[in-house]
Amino acid sequence: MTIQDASIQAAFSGLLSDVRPGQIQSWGLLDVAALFSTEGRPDYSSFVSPLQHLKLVRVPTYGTLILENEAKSGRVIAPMHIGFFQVGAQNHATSRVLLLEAGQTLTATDCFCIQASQGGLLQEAQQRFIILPLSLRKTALAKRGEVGYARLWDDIDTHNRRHGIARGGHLERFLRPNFHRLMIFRHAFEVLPKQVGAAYFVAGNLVGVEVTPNAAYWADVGPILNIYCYGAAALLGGRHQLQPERQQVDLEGLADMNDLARRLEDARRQESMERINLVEALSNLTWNNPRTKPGLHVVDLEQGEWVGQMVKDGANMLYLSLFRDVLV
Amino acid sequence: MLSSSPKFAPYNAMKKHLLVEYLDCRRLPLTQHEGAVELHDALCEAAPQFYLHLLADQATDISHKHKVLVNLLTHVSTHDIERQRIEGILRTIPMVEALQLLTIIRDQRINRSRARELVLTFLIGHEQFPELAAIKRQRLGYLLKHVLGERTWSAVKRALANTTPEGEIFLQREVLHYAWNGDSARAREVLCFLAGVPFNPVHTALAKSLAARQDLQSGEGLPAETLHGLRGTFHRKTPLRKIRQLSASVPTTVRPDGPMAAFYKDALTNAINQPQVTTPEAESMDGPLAGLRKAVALLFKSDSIEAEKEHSIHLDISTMLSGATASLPLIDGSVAVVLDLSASMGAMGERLNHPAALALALTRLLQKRVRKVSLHQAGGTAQLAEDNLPVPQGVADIAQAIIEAARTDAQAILVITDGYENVRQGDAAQVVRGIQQLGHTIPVYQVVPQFTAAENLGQRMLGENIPVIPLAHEDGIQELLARILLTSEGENISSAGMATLEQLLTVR
Repeated sequence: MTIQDASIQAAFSGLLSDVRPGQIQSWGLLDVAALFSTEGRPDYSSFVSPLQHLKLVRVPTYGTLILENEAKSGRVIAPMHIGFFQVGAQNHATSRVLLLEAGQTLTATDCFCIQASQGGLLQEAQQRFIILPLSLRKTALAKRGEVGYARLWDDIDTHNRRHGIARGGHLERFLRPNFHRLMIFRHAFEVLPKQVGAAYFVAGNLVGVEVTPNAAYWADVGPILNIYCYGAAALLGGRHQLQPERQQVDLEGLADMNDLARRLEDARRQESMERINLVEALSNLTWNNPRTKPGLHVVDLEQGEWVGQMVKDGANMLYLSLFRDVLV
Repeated sequence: MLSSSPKFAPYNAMKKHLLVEYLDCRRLPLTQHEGAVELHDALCEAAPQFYLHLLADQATDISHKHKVLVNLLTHVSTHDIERQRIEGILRTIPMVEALQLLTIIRDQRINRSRARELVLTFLIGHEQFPELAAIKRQRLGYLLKHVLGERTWSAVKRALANTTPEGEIFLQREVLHYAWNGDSARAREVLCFLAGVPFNPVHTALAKSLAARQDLQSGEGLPAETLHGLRGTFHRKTPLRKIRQLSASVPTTVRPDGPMAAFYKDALTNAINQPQVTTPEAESMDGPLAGLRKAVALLFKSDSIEAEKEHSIHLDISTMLSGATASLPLIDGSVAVVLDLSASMGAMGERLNHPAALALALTRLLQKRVRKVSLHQAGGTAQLAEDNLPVPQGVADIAQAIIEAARTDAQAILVITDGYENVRQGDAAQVVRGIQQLGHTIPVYQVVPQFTAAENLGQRMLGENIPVIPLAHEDGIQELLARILLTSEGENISSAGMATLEQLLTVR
């Protein structure tokens, strides 16, 4: 058992009381703390992975997506800000979390076009989908429930210019030249057995917490969040000269090999505790978190610079996506 | 003959630091390593016979091989090496690559008879001379013109164009007597092609290349590079996409896996895919993969949660291992292996399981061919054992594993990893710094199992104080064994040690 495992097994209190922290992984500016279900959290195995079962049926008009849960049994939670791509058509992304029963077809009219200069209606999106970059998500969530396919273009334009890309509401102009940098975040972070979520840190600052119904769901969606959402945030942090917040191993006056091992453990433990304390503090803010409402329901979350949505099943958290901008 | 004269120094004059430096820099272009020219001169002086074999070293950048060839042709310490031996080494490598090497003779204006004879005997006397001429006409022409001299080359052209008894004698003396199998007619045809003298082509490769000058479609099957050249000169209006349609499919740059890596890749892929045994062949449980099939079948028959936790494959690879190591010397040394089996070692897409399979193969080969090996595994579903194969999973705490490895009496630590150090990126480098600060001089190498040699490892280096050894094939075990052997040698490498090193580093 690693030091991290031993020191950070306790569950959080407050909003995140259904999960407990695990191993922290780091790469460049991005740190990712694995989250696991607590013993009291039900095994939500009836919720199937969107990567396997969520299908884009068609786009009847710009800004509207018709989605289908292809699973014969098992519900799908379409993660917030999921984007669909197709060559030669206008790519789209959703503005909020969506719930689909087995076999259900759902029409979402408050979606965004994310490729301003490309016309054409999506007929059959590639199975590989994206999650919007972190710095677009706050605005995207704020614009849920509205109609207007072009309402994210100005924000995409700003986002692209922050990355030094030519202007335009065309997300692919950011993704294409940066894809090889983003893919590093796919390889660098391992999905752990039984992991259901993660807390994300850029340059030591907590920027997002994601929780999914079960480990299979996370194994599919986690890497996509790493690449497109939080990987993009880490790239942006790099452009703004942010530096990794690392607790260095103190090598001054090193006595022997045991001493070296101990100092390594100490540095890691201290860094882990700093990260986990940030999550604990977030969890204990005052949230709109109804404990008594029965059944499956979506809860909007907002607290200071933090926004997000949560899907609850009675008192338990099924899905959570809570985030803030990396540059605040 | 080994002379006591320093000019022809015996093997025991080879210094360890020279070989280590060469192994460290050989994958980089010559210009990117300060002192590379002096290093080559020193290697050449220390052991010219060994140096000769570096010409065929697969892991070495072409710029180093150019330098090796130049030294073999010009350095005073290599005069005892017969030209035929250099030619013999060149014949072991693909002809296009050999031509690329020989081009340095023209580029550096080397004009001695040794170089001239080498080029003429190798090229004109090569079985594939016509095929090479058909696709590398210009380069070949320039090289022949250089080694023959402009006046002789002009005289050859005249003699080819106007047949006279004197001309025939001249041609025979200057070029045709080098012809492969004494086939002067064939050599004449190629020379006519290179010199631009009209002739009736008999050889199909030459006929195709000539026909493509009239109609690019006739050049179907020629390499894209050749077709691009023809298009630029003769068919400027032909669209580029036509070249893509006509050109020969580029042979894959990925070498086939070695037997051990292929076996492990198969085993790991089967473990992930949970195969359905449906074909009679598979059901028979016979053949080379029988052990694997049985192991995988057993693995997925179990429904218990405990069995799922311990996803590992039980198989007997002793026979295959013995075969793979039969030609390798046993190294009387000790090494600590840090084996990364985190989830990323499983890779994805066309690289699926490649890093893990190659890492496992290298580990087992080391265990078989080094007297003492301590294994420090990080990540994976189970501990690697004689008959037990773990599947990549979880994270790899490489820094902790290096500390454990350094506690042993190993002469070297080999960290076999893809370089995605995610339990705090940078810890491995700090730990190695700490180990060095404690006075341990044990060398630590990062061994990266690559899919292709072209992979960019810039972001995947554990630290500047940990040299990287990228290996794309399990035959890279030879370099690892050489490095382990070097750690047990003194600064002056023994004759026996040098003989083993030559076996490890020069046999293709």
